Amino acid sequence: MKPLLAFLAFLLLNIEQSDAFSVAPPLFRTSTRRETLYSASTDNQESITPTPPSFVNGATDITTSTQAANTTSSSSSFTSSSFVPCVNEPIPSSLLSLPRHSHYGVNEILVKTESTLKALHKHAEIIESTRLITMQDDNTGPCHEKVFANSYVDLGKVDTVGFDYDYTLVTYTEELLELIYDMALNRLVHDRQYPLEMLHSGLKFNPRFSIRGDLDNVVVDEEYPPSS
Amino acid sequence: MSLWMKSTLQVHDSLTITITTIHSGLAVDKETGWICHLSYTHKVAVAWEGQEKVPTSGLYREYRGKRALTPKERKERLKPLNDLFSMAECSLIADTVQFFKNSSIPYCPRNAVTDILSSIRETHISGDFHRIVAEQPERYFRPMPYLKDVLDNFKQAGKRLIFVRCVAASVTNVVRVDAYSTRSLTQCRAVTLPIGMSTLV
Repeated sequence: MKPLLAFLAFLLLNIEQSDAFSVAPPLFRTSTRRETLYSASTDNQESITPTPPSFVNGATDITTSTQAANTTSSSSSFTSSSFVPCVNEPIPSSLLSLPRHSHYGVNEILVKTESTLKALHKHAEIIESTRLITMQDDNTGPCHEKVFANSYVDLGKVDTVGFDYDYTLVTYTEELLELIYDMALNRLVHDRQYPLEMLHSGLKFNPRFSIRGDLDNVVVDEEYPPSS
Repeated sequence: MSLWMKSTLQVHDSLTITITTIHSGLAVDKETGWICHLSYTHKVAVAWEGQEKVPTSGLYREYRGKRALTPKERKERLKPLNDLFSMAECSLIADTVQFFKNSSIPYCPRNAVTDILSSIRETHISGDFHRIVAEQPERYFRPMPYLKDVLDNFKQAGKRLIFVRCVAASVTNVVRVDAYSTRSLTQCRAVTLPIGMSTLV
């Protein structure tokens, strides 16, 4: 256990003192340290590309989102002190860089992880921009794609109400099922050449057939209510 | 849509119990023509071949010893019976299979199921039964006295009411008669929209 702790302590110490660390800042540092790091890597600011806003909550209005994207793209003077991690702000490329380590094996892992991170980030950018373009073309926003439960719909904001027919505007008597059964049976015999005997063998719709299992499970507690 | 069944169970001469059950978990196996009742874990709990119950050993043999299918197999093989026509479908499939068995007529379950489901679907799409229903609304329609108030409330609140229909146009009038039994049809103006909708009022 002690050798392991010692190795971890050595590792951390080595990362802190690594020369490469000043070029590639870690993701989580104190603000003071981050300011220093960003000021040291001002060259990277040119490569900062504004990304479309992320619709994580799904309820953002399309207009607001577009404005947010324009605002973000116009304010290219990104400073470390003004950066607060937020889902609607672009991630600076410097944050996607991982620190380097003096050990070759560890460095190799860090390089691979960094490339994976960047690839994921780029992929997310493409998906988000495609989605934004599609929504602009269709003139629809995320709100239009949602299905609302009735309890959350403010009917005061609804101007059109649509009604389905079967079992919404009308409910049927059980005779309708008999009618459907008979008509389908006739269609089977006359259109699909099923045996004519089927019409004369007394086949009749049985409403109890498909619920027999449910009724079989009905039990009566003979002890209840308890006799006094 | 879940199909709600209201069954009246005569327990005693003087005692009638009305049971309302959710008619769920029914499916037809398109390979065997069995009417299956699925458990909440999607296992085939009970199956009926025609009117005869399939023995448990048969279920284990057919469904790989576990009475369960993978989600993909279940989707391909079991057709849920959970809409307006399911009761008729269920009964007709069972009766047809039983008829073939009683008459010793060899049959292909898959084709039989396909034919029966198609004939029910065609009955609906053709609008034939809707026309018959429209001719005898008092026989096939259950009274809905509250519907008029509901629609009136919507209308008074300034809402536009649209009727999403996939049936023959003649049924539209029946709905209006049913919903507005005190009004004449001329008061219920309908504007047919090109997308297959018409306004109710």
